[in-house]
Amino acid sequence: MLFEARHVTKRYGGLVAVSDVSFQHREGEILGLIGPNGAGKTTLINLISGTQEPTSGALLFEGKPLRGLAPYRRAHLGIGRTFQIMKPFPGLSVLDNVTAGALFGREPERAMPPARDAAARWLAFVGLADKAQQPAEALGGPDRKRLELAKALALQPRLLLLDEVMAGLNAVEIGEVVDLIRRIRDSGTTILVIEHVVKAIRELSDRLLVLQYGQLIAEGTADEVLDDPRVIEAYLGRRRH
Amino acid sequence: MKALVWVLALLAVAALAAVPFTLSPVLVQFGISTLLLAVLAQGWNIIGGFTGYASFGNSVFYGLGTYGTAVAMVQFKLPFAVGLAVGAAVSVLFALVLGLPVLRLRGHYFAITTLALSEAVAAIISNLDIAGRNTGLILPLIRGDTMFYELSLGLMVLATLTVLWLSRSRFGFGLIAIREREDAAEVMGIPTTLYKVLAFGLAALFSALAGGIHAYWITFIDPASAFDISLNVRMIIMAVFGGAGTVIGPVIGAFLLSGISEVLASYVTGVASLFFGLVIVAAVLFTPRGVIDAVRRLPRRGLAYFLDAVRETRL
Repeated sequence: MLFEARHVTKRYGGLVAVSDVSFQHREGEILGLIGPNGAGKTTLINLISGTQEPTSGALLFEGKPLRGLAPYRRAHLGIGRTFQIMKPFPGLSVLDNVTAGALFGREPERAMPPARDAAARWLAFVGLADKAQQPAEALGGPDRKRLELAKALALQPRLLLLDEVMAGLNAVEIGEVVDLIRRIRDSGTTILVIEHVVKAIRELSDRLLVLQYGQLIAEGTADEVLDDPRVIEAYLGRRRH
Repeated sequence: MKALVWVLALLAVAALAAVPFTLSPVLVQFGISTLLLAVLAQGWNIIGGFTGYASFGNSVFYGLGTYGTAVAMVQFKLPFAVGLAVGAAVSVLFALVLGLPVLRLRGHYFAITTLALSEAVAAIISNLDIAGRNTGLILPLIRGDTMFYELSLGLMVLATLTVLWLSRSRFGFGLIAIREREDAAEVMGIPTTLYKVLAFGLAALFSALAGGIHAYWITFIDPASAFDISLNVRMIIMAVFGGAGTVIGPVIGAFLLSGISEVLASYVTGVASLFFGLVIVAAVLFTPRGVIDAVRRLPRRGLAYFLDAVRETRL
């Protein structure tokens, strides 16, 4: 077991964003996380990556509790993430954005030249090699998604948390990203992916988790979960008779 | 090209080092204060330019360096070198301890808090017997402008080499990432708190050494002059004028602005500060990224550079 959540709850005052969520994430597995807007998906990723701490419950990475570890320590352990609202370093070149990951990740390079070489390889992997020298803020939407992915990959994560990397992409671009994520998994990375694009998540996920109002309402293979009446209801509402 | 830059830099340092032996004493005195200002601007560059924290606390580091050196020399009869070390140690320790809570704040809140620090420390110092209370301290008199000049030059070179190292090292890269987007930097594995505090300490080190040299040179110190907020404003203006976050920008800024202000003071005495203000306004409007950036890109972009700059400042 690479990662496990045990009865994880996150409260903001009276609002319960994540409520008593437990699940296990096996090594090498692509786990899909779906749910309506506001269901607590991004909060869950924030709790795992350490930008927020759960109110109660435990998160275990390789069997060890994550509580109290700062986000950078979790990155060193091998937890990498992307942001739904992308957060590039605006003033740096595309290459240097990724270099940061190579310098400070799980198996960091200590010197600049090898770190830049590694960053260039990750850019080639996501298909941004020709834009390496551009300022990050000059990139368009789809390229920003790729950059976000390359930054996280440069950390050489063991567990990669992807927060809606396909939002706003067209069908062709989605196909490319699905392909990329498969290749990342095949290279040995375990992946948790939040996505609204049902077709993509069905193709990608070994298992699916469904959140609604912060609660885990379904868990299983994509086919099982997407046909579950509770899941359909969560997305489409109750059918009136 | 790279070799050429190094040769030019060495020539420039050699020329500066020759000043006390060739030019007038007045110029040497002007040189000492300019070099020390360049050190201060470079110190601010580390925390403000690279790390993105607009510190108003650097004049406290300077003041503590000033007082640390003075107290060691006057009250404990220690030699100057030891005094400098004491001043630097006190200042760096202060930066590390205070940095931990203060560097949790961002933007305006950080600026205001560091501003308040300066006032608080000045008030404390004015009530310490060992620091001579309000009246200050008088250091042993020494004639040696050449020594002070070369010492200041050496310190400026050291500060600039440190910033050069920052611009090429993993640590400096981490600071830049913090400046660009701190929450993303943390998730990218950068120990942000540690790095910020170290940058604060490094800034304190250079500011304190400049303060110590200045104290012994000027021989009289009091709280008002040692903890002068306008000094902090000057280092920021110089660093930004030359180019914050660049290696040589703050030094260029210090030299240019000291020169301009000196010339203005001697030719248009009464309205000098008015003209100086105009220079600053023009710099902010036309070269918001600093003189260094303008020099680099002007040949390629031509006058359009200034138009872009004005557009960028949204006026």
